[in-house]
Amino acid sequence: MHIVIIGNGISGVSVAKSLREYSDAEITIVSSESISFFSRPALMYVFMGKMRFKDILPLPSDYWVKNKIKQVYGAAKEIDTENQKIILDNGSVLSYDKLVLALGSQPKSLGLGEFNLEGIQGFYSLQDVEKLQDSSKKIKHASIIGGGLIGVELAEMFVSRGISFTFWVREKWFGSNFLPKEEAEMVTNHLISKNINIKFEREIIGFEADDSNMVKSVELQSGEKVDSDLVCVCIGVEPKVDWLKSTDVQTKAGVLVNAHLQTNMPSIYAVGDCVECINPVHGRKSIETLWYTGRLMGEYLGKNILHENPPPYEPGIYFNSAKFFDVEYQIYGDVPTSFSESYGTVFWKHPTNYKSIRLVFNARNDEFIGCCVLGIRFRQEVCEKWIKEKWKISEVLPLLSEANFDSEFSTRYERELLDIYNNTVI
Amino acid sequence: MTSILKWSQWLFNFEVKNEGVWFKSLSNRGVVGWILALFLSFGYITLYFFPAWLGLGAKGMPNTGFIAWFDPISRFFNGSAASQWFVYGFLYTLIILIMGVKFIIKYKNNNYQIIRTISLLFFQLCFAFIIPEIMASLNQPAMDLKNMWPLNYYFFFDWNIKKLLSSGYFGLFLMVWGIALTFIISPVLTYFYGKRWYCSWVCGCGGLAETAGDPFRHLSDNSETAWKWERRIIYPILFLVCLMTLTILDSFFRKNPETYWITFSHFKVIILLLLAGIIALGIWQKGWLKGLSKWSKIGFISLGIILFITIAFSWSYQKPVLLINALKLREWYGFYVGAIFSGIIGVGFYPLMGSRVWCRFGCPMAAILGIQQRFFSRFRITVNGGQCISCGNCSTYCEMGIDVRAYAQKGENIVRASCVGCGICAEVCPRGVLKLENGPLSLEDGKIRF
Repeated sequence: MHIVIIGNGISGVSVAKSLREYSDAEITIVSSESISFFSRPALMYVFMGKMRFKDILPLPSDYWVKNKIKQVYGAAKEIDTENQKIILDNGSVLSYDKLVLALGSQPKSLGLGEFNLEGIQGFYSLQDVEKLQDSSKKIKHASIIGGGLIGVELAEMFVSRGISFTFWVREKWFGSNFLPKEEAEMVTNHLISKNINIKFEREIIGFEADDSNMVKSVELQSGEKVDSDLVCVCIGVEPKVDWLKSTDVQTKAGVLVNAHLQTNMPSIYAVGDCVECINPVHGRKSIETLWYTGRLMGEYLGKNILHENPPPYEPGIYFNSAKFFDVEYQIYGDVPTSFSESYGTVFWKHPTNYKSIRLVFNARNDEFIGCCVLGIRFRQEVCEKWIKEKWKISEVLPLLSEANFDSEFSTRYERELLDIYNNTVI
Repeated sequence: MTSILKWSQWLFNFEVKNEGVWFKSLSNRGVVGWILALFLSFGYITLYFFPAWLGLGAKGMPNTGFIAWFDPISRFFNGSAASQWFVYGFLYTLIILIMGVKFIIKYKNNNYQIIRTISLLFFQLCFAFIIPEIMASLNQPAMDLKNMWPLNYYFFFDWNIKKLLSSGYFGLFLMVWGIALTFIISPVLTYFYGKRWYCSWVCGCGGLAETAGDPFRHLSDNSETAWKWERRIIYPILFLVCLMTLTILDSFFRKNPETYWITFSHFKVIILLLLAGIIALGIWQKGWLKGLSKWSKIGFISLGIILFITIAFSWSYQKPVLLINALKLREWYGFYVGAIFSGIIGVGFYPLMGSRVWCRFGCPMAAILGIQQRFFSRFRITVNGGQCISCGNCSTYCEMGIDVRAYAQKGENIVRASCVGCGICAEVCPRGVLKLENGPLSLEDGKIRF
């Protein structure tokens, strides 16, 4: 039994790791990005000089040999589904019994053909960081386009290296399409307090390049042109599946998979960012380009790929986390960006610091369905338990301190939240 | 004006947390780091072995040069001219105070770090510096009340015992305090809070490592090989300090078998019972030797039995314990471990091997507290479910070289003998995955409990 995994990001590596726990099958993992698995979210820290590249390798260097996982450097080019073979760009051919596609994603384009210009790039891969390392030495002024998580990471990276830049955000607030309004405002204020050059309600409609095809300036909707010799486009990512279009593997926006993460070809599976679920689990998106989702899918598949009657993929209660400069963010369960009649919410915000707690419940039956925190840490197990067991909001609030995960001696705010709830209810 | 601002920002590191540490020559084992390491090491060598170079007056002669600068301060505290040890203690305390303030500013958003650092500064300033000076100025034996055996390896030396027991009730109090600190107070506190109550809240070596050593914490090697060497060095040193103390006390009692309340025969019985107790625990308590292979378990227990028999034999034949020359062993330990390891390497190598070289590889106190922490303590680092993104900040900034990420990414709580509970892993984690906690007994603790 030979299992070939294409892609050694968190999804592919999680498949290999968990598969090795259950089976002695031959495992080969293919990548053209890096020979060894690294932590993608940690790339920013290498640029900032907090860690060296070798510090962001999550597994010891002898892990692969010890666990008999073969690493192959190369990009997959074609799949011969009939003969179960995969062809790499260096000409070598690998035959497989089962194939796992962990292809990851790629930065979305503005649709202006901007990635054809020199000096315009996304921020996703190891190569993107290397490019950034080179160009950041000689540039005068950079542009970051897009008000998402990657944009704010880049801003933090540029600040740490003293690179002058403008951060272009299309919306009125930073994060307004993934955070509730109050939280988005707080994060926005935090970014402003960092004295970074952030501009809201600005849309980029074009670029100007010099004779050598090098970007010179960005053009705004207002017609204004701003000099910029490095542009980072971070308006999101999309599954990296273009090369699969010519194969028999069925794709739409991503690789289409069933409840067992199996594609239309029975011996081919897909995990992570490149996946599009045909019937996503209730409350989850069909495409989830998240580290945690990749890991959960990988662990599920590694455990079940050789199983005859596998249970369906069940990701559990949604969770995610991020950090905006100094402010940490955690979310558990369902927290919408705007609250319709069917949602109830209790929100507390620190008067001066960037700290907030939000609990969300079903307005009809008072069941606790989710929470998000800024500048405060919550325990995943406790939040999950309350959501899964459908606790009432009135039962959750008095016990909220059980969910707190802040370091010892931290100031606690459960009392304030309870008071807010009691005042609004009565 | 701007240059002053810039300079003060560099000095106090406002807001900046570890950004660019791998780019700076001082903190990435570059030329500046090596120069500092050589400077510190030679500083220790001069202080220990050639104090005359610093201007220490020989036999009653007045001090000159560097040491003479500190004469007025020394006279203020204890009425006499500065010794090289006064200068050392004074500078040591001053550096901890200055760098401690810098540390507090750097971690001003974390109450645990602030309170912990204030505690370190307090114990260094009062217990290590001011109180002993006051004791000395009152013509009493001077003692650092928080420096306990076996870190304070000369506590049970003959000259120290004689000094304490000839100083009336105050000396007797110090004797009782020192013994209680090692055998009662420390195990109880370690049970409830882990070894952090000492190593990163009280200890003077820890005080310097946490404050002056903070810019170098990422240089601690977190490989498994380093962990192996850690265990290979620190436990033999613990064994050595116990052996040295035993032989010194043995020769002390041999000269004064009936002089004190505890006689030589009492002493023999106590030691043999203690040893028998340790062997019995090793045999009965399976969990205590968990993780060791069957053969090393048998090896340790047989070593204990052999020791027991040979000690009993040497006493029954009226010979020194194990026929060891107590004075030679003491001289050897004082030179190699006391001076070279804890001083020259322990502090001099901050810019090369990180801030906790001595605490990790050498300190016998850390070894004892570590064994307690691993097997008999409620302290652990809790991991928050599946939130880890394997970034490696925790492992990089662990001054004890613990590969924290290896546990965090598996969702396993961290119970390690060497963890000093500084809390920096939890502070640098960008996703709120780690928390220091005192929960139920942490042995066998694989899962999250509340």
